[in-house]
Amino acid sequence: MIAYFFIIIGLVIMLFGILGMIILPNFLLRIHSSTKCGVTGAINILIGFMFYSLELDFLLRMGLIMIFLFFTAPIIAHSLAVFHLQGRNIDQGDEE
Amino acid sequence: MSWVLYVLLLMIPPVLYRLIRGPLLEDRLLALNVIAVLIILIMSYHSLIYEQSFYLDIALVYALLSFSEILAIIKFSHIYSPVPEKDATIETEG
Repeated sequence: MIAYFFIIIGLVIMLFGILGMIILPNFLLRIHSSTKCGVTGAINILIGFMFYSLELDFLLRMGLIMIFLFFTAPIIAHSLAVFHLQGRNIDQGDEE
Repeated sequence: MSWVLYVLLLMIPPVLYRLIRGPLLEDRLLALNVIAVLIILIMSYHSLIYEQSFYLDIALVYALLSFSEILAIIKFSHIYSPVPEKDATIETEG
């Protein structure tokens, strides 16, 4: 039951992140939505999977994937934001 | 438990919309990152269903490859799109 709780919370968070990624008009708003909501939802869903099967192999490997996502998503978001602000596309963010 | 797979699969087409129609390169890379996270979750789900834990190794390698891939594309685009001066951009655009 705890597993389904975490999985449903993660799916709802991820759904809102993807909704914001479609709707929002600017690139910086989109990166705000998708990085926070996407990674938080993924970590919640993986915690739910860990509660679903309480075996050591699954626990260790899912914990490793969680740590990896938790460290690499801010790096990607930072690189994309720097690329957006330094590049030639700085005045084209409000096309929609 | 199979509804998790269906919800995760239904999340991919909106991100594909952003990946195809995104006005900038950054939008497409962001959509690629989100699709990679969704594929990692689907691989974890299949490792749970088939009860074989080495699928998670494939998910971990896929996470590492997508991370390095996005950083490599950003580096490539930094090299081949030089930063213009601000006066030049104002004159050409306005």
